[in-house]
Amino acid sequence: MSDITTPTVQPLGDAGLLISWGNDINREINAKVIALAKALRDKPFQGMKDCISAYSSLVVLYDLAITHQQKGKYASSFDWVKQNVLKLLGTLKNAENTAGNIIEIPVCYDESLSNDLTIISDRMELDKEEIIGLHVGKTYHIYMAGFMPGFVYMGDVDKRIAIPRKLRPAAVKPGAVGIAGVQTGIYPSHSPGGWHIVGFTPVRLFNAAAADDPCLLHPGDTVQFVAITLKDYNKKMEMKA
Amino acid sequence: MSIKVLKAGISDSMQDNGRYGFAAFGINVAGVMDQLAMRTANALVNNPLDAPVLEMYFPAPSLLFQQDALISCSGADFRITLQTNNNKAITADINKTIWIKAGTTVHFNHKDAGECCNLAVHGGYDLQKWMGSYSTQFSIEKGGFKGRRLKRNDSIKLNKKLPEKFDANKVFPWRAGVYTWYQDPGTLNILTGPEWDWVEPLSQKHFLSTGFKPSAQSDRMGCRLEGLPLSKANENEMISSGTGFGTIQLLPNGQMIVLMADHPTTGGYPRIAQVISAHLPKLAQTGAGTELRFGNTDLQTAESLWLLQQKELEQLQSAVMLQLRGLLAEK
Repeated sequence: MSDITTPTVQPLGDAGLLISWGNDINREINAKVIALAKALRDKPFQGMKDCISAYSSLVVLYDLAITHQQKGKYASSFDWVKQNVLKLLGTLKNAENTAGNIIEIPVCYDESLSNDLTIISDRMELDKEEIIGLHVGKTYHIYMAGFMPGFVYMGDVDKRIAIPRKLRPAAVKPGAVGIAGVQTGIYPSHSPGGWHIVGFTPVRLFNAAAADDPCLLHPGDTVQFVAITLKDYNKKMEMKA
Repeated sequence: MSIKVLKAGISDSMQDNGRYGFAAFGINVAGVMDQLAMRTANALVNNPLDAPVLEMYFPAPSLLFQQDALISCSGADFRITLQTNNNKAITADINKTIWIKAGTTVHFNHKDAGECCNLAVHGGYDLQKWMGSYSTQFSIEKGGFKGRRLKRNDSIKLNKKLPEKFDANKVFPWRAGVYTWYQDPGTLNILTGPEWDWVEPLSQKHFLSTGFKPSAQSDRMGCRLEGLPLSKANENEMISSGTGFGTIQLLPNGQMIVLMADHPTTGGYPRIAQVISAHLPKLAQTGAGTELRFGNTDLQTAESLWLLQQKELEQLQSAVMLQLRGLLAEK
């Protein structure tokens, strides 16, 4: 299916480039994506506006006005950008294992905070303690950021609690820890959300005042959830307020 | 002195070219819906082309100018109406440079054409940058003017005080000729997207030959299209991947959404096509119910068309600069 050595490179419109290693969630491919994104941010080509790293792909957005000045013999800005991206990718061939940080996230799984625990329990035929046990029972790799500021997609959730998205998104509060299939994630702010909520963290995930790095979690990091009591949760929430 | 909001519009926000470089934090681009209108309005008042503008939808606000200002509006035409004290109100066109006398209220009385109007002020609005941009990020209430839409009684300070030149409002004779870029509003050129092959061949044909209408549910995040539902050629579930302004996603119900300024950085729906950059302004000005047709083009044509648009803007900018040089001189 996916081939780690030969990605496909194609335009995303007239001012974007997509480099993709297939449609699979795979740690090795994701490490490559994160490494390439980092390299592009460290050494952006002239006119690069942003790069969006995802599970197994990267989108590079560029400013046509600048790339057009740079493209020289290339037929299009896209061809010039492609050549730049592939050249940089070539230098990453033996990319060292870029292990990120390990971050503990306290989560209160008290059922008074979320009705979804009952839904998961019914659907997946597990009792609530088992669901919580499975959720805290492993560490999660952060594959990508997206959806909203500070939100990251983590995996892989144990198949036994990998409940699909809700049919209708519901209003979600900041700190809500959700599951969607084998993905888990935390809502940093108020939002409509389609993920089933298993618990809440008192930790702030996005701090807009910290302009150099407003996020607690980044692609490549590892997250360990730690269960806390409702009393601890309430205490931490009071301290935050 | 400043601009005072006497009456708020339905969605008035400060926007610039967008917030790039922070996708790694999940921070989306935002920015104006119609970049051509932003650049045109800025060119007409001798600003940098990507300076922040006030983006307005209809009903638009009523704005009391408490100081002289050189303004222009571009994009939608909401029938600019200038009212000073007891004088008779006068109307002004979009795509013109207008001198506003202190004490004038600017109203927008009628939605004549388009969806969003950009108002630029010479010297710019006094705003704080957040993460490299002046654009308003609504979901976390940052950037722009206090991270939100304008409200009644807001006072927006301007960066520059103008020399005393005129006793009354004045509409200058020149006009930006950008209307050509909005002609033929129903036709949008596209490039096929990474998941074009996921669309069943007959549906591919429908996409390129039948009409689709933006629904009333469209907003700054996306233009939702209604029309013949399209089918997928496979059962593949797409994993999330990057998207851009103009990406056309195929939703599970067979309908499409064109991602607009406030779209999230990533999405999990097949990217079947992408509206070319030069045609995004046209799409931004298309209201609910107008039939759209998609035509295939190639990458080099799309790039050239956008570059031509920018070249015209730079010519406009130089021409206006010559006209205003004497007027804006300090002494």
